[in-house]
Amino acid sequence: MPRVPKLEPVRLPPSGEGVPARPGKQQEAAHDRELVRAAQADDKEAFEELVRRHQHRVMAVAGGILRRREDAEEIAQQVFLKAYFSLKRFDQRAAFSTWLYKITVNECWDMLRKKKVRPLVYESDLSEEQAHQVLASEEKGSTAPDISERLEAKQRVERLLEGLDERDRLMLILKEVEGFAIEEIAEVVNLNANTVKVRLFRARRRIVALARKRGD
Amino acid sequence: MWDRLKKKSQECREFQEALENASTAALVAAAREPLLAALPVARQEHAASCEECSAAVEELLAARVLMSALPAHSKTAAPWFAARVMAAIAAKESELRRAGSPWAAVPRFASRLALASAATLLVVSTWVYERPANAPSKQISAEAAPESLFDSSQPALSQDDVLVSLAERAQ
Repeated sequence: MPRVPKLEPVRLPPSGEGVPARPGKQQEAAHDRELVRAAQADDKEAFEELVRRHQHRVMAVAGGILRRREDAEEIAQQVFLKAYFSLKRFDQRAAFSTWLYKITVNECWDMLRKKKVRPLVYESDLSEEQAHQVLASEEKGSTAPDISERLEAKQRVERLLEGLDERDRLMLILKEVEGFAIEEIAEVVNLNANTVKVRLFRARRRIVALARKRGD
Repeated sequence: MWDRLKKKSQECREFQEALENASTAALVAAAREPLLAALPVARQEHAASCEECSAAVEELLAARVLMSALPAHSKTAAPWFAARVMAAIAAKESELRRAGSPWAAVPRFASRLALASAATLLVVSTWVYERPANAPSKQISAEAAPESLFDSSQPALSQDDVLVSLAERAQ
């Protein structure tokens, strides 16, 4: 009999838990512009500051597409390398974050093309240490850690997400898991905010219907 | 009838939009009451009267519960990530600097250079080897040749030589 994950209320802060709070978007964008100008004048510290400011969001987008922590980290590094070496050509007509998101999405699709795998792979996102814990708990037959349950639940949700369009899947993950605002998702997927809202609404409806159908 | 339907669909659309905004702002994501409390009163009333919109609230909450099984990758960025990126940039820059120097061309063309040198060496050594072997054979063929009535060692006079010697004689 399949084990059912515990359904507990999830607490999310206004702008998402894992993502640092964003005080004012315009203020941030202005600060980004200053940092970009400094980095274009070969100020490496300014670029490092840009990396620190955007690493979480880049990781979130890469993770939303690739679903593996190692891949997301690799891509995030490549994205910043690419950004650094093309920074002089960046004319700041768009926001730095928008430009970065575009590079991230392109790099992710390139990686998937090269690997020739689908974005969702049923591989564990657990670290080696966690994997050892799972194995150890299975060997001992212990009841304590619920890592294997969580892993199972995660895989079940990933299977459900496969029933969605790739872009809808990314939007749903960014909204519900990474805590992105609608406007940010719109930047990432290059759609207007209203379209994002409508598509999110439909994606939720679809995933819930699929879960009910499969009895999850 | 048509107007009423149109009005209802408009209200539903507005409710869904408000719900989407509220879901971003609501602190407790998987509970119905706080989520509805974050909506304007008119929308709350609409949710109470519209079955479809009430179901939409349930779907949003159910989707959230499902999605909570996935890990957030934004949390997994390591604290040394920025330092690692900067180190990778420094490594790439030094690699590019090395690629820009004139000596960088040497390893790139090393295999072709080796091949060309080997071919040249082969041609030169063949020529050197063949040269002493040809020289005595020419000598032998000259010695073996039958004697001629005319002295072949003396070069034939050209027309100019004849004219010059005639002119000298006239002087």
